[in-house]
Amino acid sequence: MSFFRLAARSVARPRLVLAPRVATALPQRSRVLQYAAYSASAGLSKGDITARVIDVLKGFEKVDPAKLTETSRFSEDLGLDSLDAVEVVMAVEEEFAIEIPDEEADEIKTVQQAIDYIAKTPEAH
Amino acid sequence: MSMRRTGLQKEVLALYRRALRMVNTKPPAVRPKFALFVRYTFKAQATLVSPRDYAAIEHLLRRGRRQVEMYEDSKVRDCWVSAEMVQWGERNRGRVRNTSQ
Repeated sequence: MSFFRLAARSVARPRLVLAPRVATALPQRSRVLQYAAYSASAGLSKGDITARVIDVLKGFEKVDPAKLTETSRFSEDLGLDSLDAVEVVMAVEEEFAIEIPDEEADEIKTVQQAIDYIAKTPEAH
Repeated sequence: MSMRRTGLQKEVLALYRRALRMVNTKPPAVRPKFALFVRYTFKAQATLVSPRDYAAIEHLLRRGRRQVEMYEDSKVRDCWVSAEMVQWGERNRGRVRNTSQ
């Protein structure tokens, strides 16, 4: 949700600003520039990813924030069952605007594994 | 439930994921109802079945797949939730979404 709003905003605003200056002669070029500016913001730092993954988990009522660390295991440390884990991984997908294939999603069972997956996924925002 | 992921458990988790993705395709206003319906169906109903009762799980999987397929139709724009589901939802709130999102 937030990603779509963000994406829509970053595309819509420059167009409004650029339109009068670039005029009608170079509509193609302004589109290229917008794309470049958009993808440049995709680089995520490990610290950034960690903070956002932890934030996603804090959004779950079952999760005790006091027990939540980078090394927490979903089931043993946070008391989540396998269905909860599916919800957590899907919330992480939403946060970073990606879709994790079933096979790989099944393997994410700790906070660290979620962070590592995002870190190695260039599409993550 | 055993931590070892059996083939059957993976199928259940895959169906749950598919059902939750279906929820995200619905109009934002009715998404909470679809989400409650899906979460209740899996979490409250499924716990009534023994993890060893393979025949019952396979039956529920088949029924669930047909149901999800139906709900995936974009013409389905609303769903009905019972008072029992709403009460269960209040006791098991799951993800409390950030209001800024």
